[in-house]
Amino acid sequence: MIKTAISVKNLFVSIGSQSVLENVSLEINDNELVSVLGPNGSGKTTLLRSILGFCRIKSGLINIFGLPVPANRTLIGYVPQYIDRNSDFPLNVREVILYGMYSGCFSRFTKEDYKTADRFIEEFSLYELKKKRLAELSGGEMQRVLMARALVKSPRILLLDEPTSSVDKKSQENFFNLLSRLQKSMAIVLVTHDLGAVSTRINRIVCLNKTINYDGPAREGLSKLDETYKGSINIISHTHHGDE
Amino acid sequence: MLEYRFIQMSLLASFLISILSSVIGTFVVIRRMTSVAGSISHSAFGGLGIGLLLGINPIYAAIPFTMAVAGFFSLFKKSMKISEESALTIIWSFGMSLGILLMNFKRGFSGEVLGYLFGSILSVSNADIYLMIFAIAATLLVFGVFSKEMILVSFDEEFASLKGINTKLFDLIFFMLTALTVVILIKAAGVLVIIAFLTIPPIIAKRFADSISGMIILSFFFNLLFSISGMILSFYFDLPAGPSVVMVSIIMLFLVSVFKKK
Repeated sequence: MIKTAISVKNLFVSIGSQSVLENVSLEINDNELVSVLGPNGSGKTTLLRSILGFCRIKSGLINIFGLPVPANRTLIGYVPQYIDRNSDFPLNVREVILYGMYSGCFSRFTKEDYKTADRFIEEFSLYELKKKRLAELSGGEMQRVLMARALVKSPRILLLDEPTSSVDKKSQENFFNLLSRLQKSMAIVLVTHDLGAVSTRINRIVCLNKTINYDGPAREGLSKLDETYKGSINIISHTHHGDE
Repeated sequence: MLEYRFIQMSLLASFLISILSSVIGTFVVIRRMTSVAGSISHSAFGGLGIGLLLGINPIYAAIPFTMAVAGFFSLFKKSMKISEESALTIIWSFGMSLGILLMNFKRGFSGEVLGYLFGSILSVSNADIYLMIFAIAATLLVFGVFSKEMILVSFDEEFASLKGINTKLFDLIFFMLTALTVVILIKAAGVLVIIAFLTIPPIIAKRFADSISGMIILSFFFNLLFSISGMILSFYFDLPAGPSVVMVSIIMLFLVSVFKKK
């Protein structure tokens, strides 16, 4: 039986007096890879942050594997677009990934935790960088570190916010290959406005612009985008580039 | 110089406040909350004023007052309708104004008030030493038991929250310990320059250390060095202790910035 990993029902979110999400309903199953698309300011990041429990919800319901967000939040791995805090913080890449193994108050990092962190350092080709601070990394390297940190504790859900925004074409290729592998063991939600990147690799897309305009197969949805996002030059022009 | 009892007490106090400052100061610097700690330290002046007016030890009055201000800021900083910067300015000026107004009701305290403004490390009492030991014990206990939580909350609050850490609680604890530390540092540095005393040693240490623990250890030695230098200047040249310590540490920071690029 297919399990529902994320369930969003009639979600309304406002920031200040401005409505950001209106009546958003969405179900994402376990082992499903879904891309949420939309122009800048369409509420993509707010939707992710609501699922994470970081936004105050006006009304609606969000469940993670059948339970409200706070109870099951530790099942989520999250890769933000950037880290809000200072990247000059005196933690190196290895320590940042190790902290992804955190498992509660009074617990210590075991030898096994260090081994797991080192395995992820290898898998994400970060060995040469493991003693560097985040401030010394390029955008693509930083994304790899944040991915490794999100995955090191084997989450059941992976939320990615614009993960390909600062990586080159070759890295994008590797990234999508990785997502295909990860999909076998978790549900993945990829937020992006990069249509070229998702057009050939994602089966289901959700088009968001405050409310959901389209939720279904990618091929069909992408062909309707001109209609869906009428007037949203940013996303349409990108589609044409992707098609070229 | 070392044969004097008050010098021995001052040396012990310098050692103790260096332990305290190195831990709290390092986290203040890596969390980039220097201006927050600066405002909290100035607000302590309000608590000193309350103590003087009520006739109780001003330091004991300043501790709950400053903790209340710091706690309030920690809990409501994200939901305030004004910017964080404006709130800090209000806290800073509120504390200083309240202190000055209350002290105005009590005449004859000008010498004591100057001691609180500029520090008077050469006049530490047994009670001051006990208070320092208590603050160190509380700080080391919290940072010893909850080091991972403190580091995660300081580095990436959202990630910490995702890991199930009560970020508000740990943030509040950190603000409380910062408030306690700044009040204790009043004796050594004085309200006006506490923030430099607290943050310049870790800023220098950050240039040499690759880890948080390395920063704390180096910061301890810099703190001790600067405190003792300030004490010597204060003793031989009859200068106020706090500004002397700060001038020594700023000269050191300048030299390190020139010769150690990082």
